[in-house]
Amino acid sequence: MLELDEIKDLMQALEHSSLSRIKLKFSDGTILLEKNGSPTAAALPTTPKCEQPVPRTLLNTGSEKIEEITAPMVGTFYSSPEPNMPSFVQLGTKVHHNTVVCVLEAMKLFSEIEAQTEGEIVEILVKDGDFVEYGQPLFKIKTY
Amino acid sequence: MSLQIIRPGLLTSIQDTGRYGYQKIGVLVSGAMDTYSMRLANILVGNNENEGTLEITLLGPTIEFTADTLIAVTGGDFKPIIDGMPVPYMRPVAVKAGAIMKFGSCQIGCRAYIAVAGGFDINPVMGSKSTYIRAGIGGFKGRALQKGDQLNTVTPNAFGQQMLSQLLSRGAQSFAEARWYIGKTHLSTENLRKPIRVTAGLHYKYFDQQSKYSFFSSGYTITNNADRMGYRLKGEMLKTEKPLEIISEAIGLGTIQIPPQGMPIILMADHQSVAGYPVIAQAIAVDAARIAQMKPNDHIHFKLISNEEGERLFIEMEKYMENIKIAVNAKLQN
Repeated sequence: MLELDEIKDLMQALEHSSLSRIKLKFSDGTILLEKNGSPTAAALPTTPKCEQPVPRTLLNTGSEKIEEITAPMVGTFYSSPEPNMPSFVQLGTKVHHNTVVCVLEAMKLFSEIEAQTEGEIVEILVKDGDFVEYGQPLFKIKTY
Repeated sequence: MSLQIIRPGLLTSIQDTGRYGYQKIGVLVSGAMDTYSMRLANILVGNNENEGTLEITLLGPTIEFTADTLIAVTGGDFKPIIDGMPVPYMRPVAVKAGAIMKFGSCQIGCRAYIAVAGGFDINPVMGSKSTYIRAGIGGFKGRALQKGDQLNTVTPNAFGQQMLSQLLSRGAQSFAEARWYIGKTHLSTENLRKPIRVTAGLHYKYFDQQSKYSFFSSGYTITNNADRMGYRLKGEMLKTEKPLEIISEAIGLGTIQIPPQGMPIILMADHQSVAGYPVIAQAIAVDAARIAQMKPNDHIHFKLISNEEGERLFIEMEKYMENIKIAVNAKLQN
């Protein structure tokens, strides 16, 4: 195969090239060189960016409005911080802009979702453990 | 940038993953008792996961921050507060200059870890920032923190700085936390109820039938003789069939040995390098971190598993840690 110095030269060459890996086959073996970081970085799934949702108005009857809180990212829906713990909100709960209404789990991280509106929860549209899509309605809120 | 120690708490010291490669000359590994919590704290603030953190024990410290600082707290629940507001765990928290953070006594678990973005400005001793208190080396002056100590911190990397300014841009009064967090991993309520999984020790086969049975069925209580070196347990007496003459053997974190009085000792982070008592079992690496979160009077149950299963659980946990690291890095970047 190759001498140590030759392998070092190859490593140098790879480092300064745009390639991410080099594989060489010899009669007596194989050498595989892979650049640190670059392949994994490229393969990295970008985390769904979690901005807080913008409530969508469904119904507007003057004094009373029904709005929806939608999922700002994909993820698994949880209504409480931990199993067997009380839910963040229930039907009838009055929420403010920064009230946490649920958490969504994606890539082992839990994101807290804030109501971003003021009113009362009138309908919960998903169940614990449901996988929700971006933009999927989670709650209906009656605003005043 | 620094942290001022207003009250030190019961036992607060700087710990990282440990001082490896020197047991052959009698220098202990030391390091965090619950390394998973310690590593997670570092990951959350964008540090190298081996960076030194503050390990706090049973009764927490009171700390003043002299500059805006990005921190993360993980591990046992000490109900920390700043200006009367609870500081959440397992997520990045931007603390404003002048804020005073008070930890109470531990409600769940025994030890918590505080990582600061950039890490502490101390020189590693033999490759580690861990405090080896008995020998007086490493960490902050080789000792547990005291009132009036001032811990300087290193300027955080770009991730840490970005996260800090992003969180502070929300107009925090004294602190602002990220709107995302890591789940409770090995310290979930469900996991804390499970028995400690062990593999058979080197001398397991020499114990009599009754002892083998008792060890796994009766459960033990952690006595007050429980520190960073080891935990002495109380419960059913254990003995070998015949007195054993053994040569001192290498031991590790989680080794469970039975001295002549018959009450088990679990060796922890500050364990000596060799020991001469019969070893009945070895707690698996993943569960040693859970033992670290147990305190005197807690009950401990053991469950026998195979070496293969112990290894599988270890690999699974490391994969989980790797995934967390990737996910958090992506969060810090966007």
